[in-house]
Order: sequence, then C-alpha cells, then structure tokens
Amino acid sequence: MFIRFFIHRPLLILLLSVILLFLSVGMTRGDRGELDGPESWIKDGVFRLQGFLYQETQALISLISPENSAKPAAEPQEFLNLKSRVFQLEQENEELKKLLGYKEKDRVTYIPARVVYRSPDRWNNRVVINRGSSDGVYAKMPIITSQGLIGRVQSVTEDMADIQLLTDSGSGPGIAAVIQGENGETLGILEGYDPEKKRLIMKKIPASAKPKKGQIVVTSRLSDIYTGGILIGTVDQVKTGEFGVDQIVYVKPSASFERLDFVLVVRDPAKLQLIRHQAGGKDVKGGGKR
Amino acid sequence: MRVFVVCFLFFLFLIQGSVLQWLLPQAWGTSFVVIPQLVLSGIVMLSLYGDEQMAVLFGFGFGLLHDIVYGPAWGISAFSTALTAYAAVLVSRHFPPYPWIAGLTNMVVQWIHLFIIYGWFRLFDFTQMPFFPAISYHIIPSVLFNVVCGFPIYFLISRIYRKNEQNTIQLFG
Repeated sequence: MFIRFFIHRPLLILLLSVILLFLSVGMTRGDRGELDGPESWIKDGVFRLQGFLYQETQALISLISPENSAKPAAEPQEFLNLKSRVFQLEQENEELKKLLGYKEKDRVTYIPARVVYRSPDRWNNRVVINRGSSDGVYAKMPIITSQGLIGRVQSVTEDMADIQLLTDSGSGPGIAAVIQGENGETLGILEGYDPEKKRLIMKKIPASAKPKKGQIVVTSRLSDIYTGGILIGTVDQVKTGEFGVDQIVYVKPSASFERLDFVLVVRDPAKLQLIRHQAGGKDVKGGGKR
Repeated sequence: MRVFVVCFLFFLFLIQGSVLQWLLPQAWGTSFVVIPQLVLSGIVMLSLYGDEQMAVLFGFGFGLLHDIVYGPAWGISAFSTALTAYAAVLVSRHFPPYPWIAGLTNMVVQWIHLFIIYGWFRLFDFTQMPFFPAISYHIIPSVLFNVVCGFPIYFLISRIYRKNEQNTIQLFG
C-alpha cells in the first residue's frame, strides 16, 4: 500500500530525499570527534583493504621511479657555521628550560603514521591514516611531514584517523600563523587556499608590517590547536586587503600535499590540556563544531 | 551474478581511493585534477543492461558508502549517485546497449554527477573553489578520463550479461 503510494510519485520521492539530505548533512558535518558504532566498523573494514592497496602501489611506484636525486649539500663552510650555531642555541635552550622549571612530561612527542587512503575528489581534502584513538590520537591534533605542516585530525575511530588537509582550511576557523621577519614576528590568520596558484592565503596582517618574499611562515604559539613553530611555508606574494587596512599574503606551502606516505601526528600535552579545558572539563572525545 | 557485480563495483570503489591516487596526474604535480568515478561508470553500464531497480539501489548504496568513507557529510553522494543512476535508467529504456550509446550516456551522466556534487559542496561550504576554475580544472578532465575508463568496464559488464543471456530470447538489439 505505502510502496504503491510512493512508486507513482517520483516528484514526491525527490522532494523527500532532498529534505532527508539536508537533515543528514546537518547532523553529520563538521568535526565529529571520536566515531563509534556501525560507521566506525564500515570505515575500519574499508581501511584494512585500502591500506594494503595503497602501500603496495606506493612500493611499486617507488621501485619504478628513480628517487629524486639528493639535493646538493650546502656549502661546507656554511654547513659548519650552522652546526656551531645549532650547538650554541641548544645549550642556551637547555639553560633557559632549567630556569623555567621545564618538565619532561610536557615535551612534544610525535606519533608516526602511514597514509591509507585519500578521498578521490579534491574539493574536500580528506586523508586517512592508520593510527587511531588506541594509539593516543585525538581530534584536532596537528599532522606534519618531514617538510612541514599538512593538516589536522578531524575525527578518529579506534584504528584510524581522518585528516583535514591545509588546502581545506577555508572552511575551518583559520590557523593563527606568524611571519618571521627581520624585525620580529607578524601575526596573521591562515584562511583558504588558491588551487590555481597552489598557494595558501594568509589574512589580517597589519598594514604596517612589511612581509617580504622568502620569509618563513610558521604556526603561532597562541593557537589553540597547533604547537608553535611548525613550518608552514614561505611568503610568496603580498597584496593589499579588501578595504586597504590590512594585507593578504600568499604563502607557498613547504610540504607537498600529493603522494603522501609517512606522516607524524604531533602530540603536544599543553594544547591537549587546553582543548580538554575548553570542552568544559569533559574528555576530548566530544569534539567541537566548526 | 549479482554477487559478482557487487564485488566488481566494490573493487572499483577501493581502487578510486588508493591505487589511482598514486597514478593520476595530480599526484605528479599537474594543476588540473582528475576525479575518478569508476563506480558510477559501472552503474551506468548496469542500467543499460536492463536491471533498472538494481542500478538505482546500487547508486544509493555505493553513494552512501562513498559518503561514509570519503565524504565530509552523509547523504551527498548517496542522493546524487542514485539520481544520476535514475537518469541513466531513463536513457537506457529507449536505446539498445551499443558501445557508443554507453559512451555517450556515461559522458552525460558523469557531467551531471560532477555538477550536482560540486553544487552541494558549494552550498554546504565544503569547498571554496569558484565555478569556472572548478569546471576547467576539475570537471572537464574528469569527464574525459571517466569516459575513456568507462569502455573497459562496459566490455566487462556486457560480457557478464551475455553469458547470462544465453538461456534467454532477445528480440531487439
């Protein structure tokens, strides 16, 4: 009876399904925190099969294509200079930490992970890695490669985590970043990505600041999520903002967002505590809305 | 036979996210992007061979799976894939499953599907890409790729159905 009522009214079905679509998108969008139930079972099942295929292909491709020839080493003199400078800074750092009463447990640690699969379309940039809540990965943790920041964890199940890449940052709350200039740091907000130029867009930079091409952009210590000082990229182009009161900087990302394989999840106890505090003392699992 | 078709489509589904992500041109640094939609091609070919309800159901099922596994929210692909599968069914009611008909239908369906998905993504603010770059950098290369890749899928599915058709009588086509 009911089935017959619906079968002869395609328009009614169409309208009902559009309404259902709006409802389900409204309920499932945004940061989801930790997932459980059937959704995580389906994801975990597909994840095991995908993991095998993705890593086998990676192995095959690395066999076929000759590895990028190693970059010529920096000039010996320059290298030695840098080495001595690093040594000097390390010592200084050590002493200052002693003064501050720095605790070993506050140290930032890294959880190594491998990429398992990636969403086929590039409109939303989602990558999945093979570490989940059982390995200590929580929502909102930053993800880096050896070249720099690539994104953050959006939702986790027991064995895997979804990553939202930096190229998708336009839909999020933005990332507090600083440009390391000659006369101190300039704070700005990283919002959006220009897919044609392949540049990240950094906004709200005061007009008095004079960013130059080639200056380094890193995450800010003031960010709620990101550990300070993670490399994002370099300044590429500077423009005046919409109303002339601020500037827009196009940042050339230092990390590549293609052919991802090994990544590191940054575990910063201080930021985790902050996230927990903001969630009202609850566990991190809850996650927040975008 | 249905089990075999489901396995084949699921295999295509897995390949989209893993193997092809290493082989497609964007992995090698091109600015245009190819979005593989092999499952949709498979569903179009299925609808041409007359299993109408199955095509729409598979469209919904694989769309939902796509949403859960890859998507930013549930329902977008489920709705769009089911709708485009229904469009393919409407076409296939009027034409016999010749290869060039399959190619043309596949092309139209891929266009519609990419447009609808892009539209929903823009509406819900999952992407900020403007309209014309999305067409020239994403949609046109993807349609070309998927039409070309549709032919092997067409031949495989037609082979599965011919084997099955030996016991039936065919009047047209």
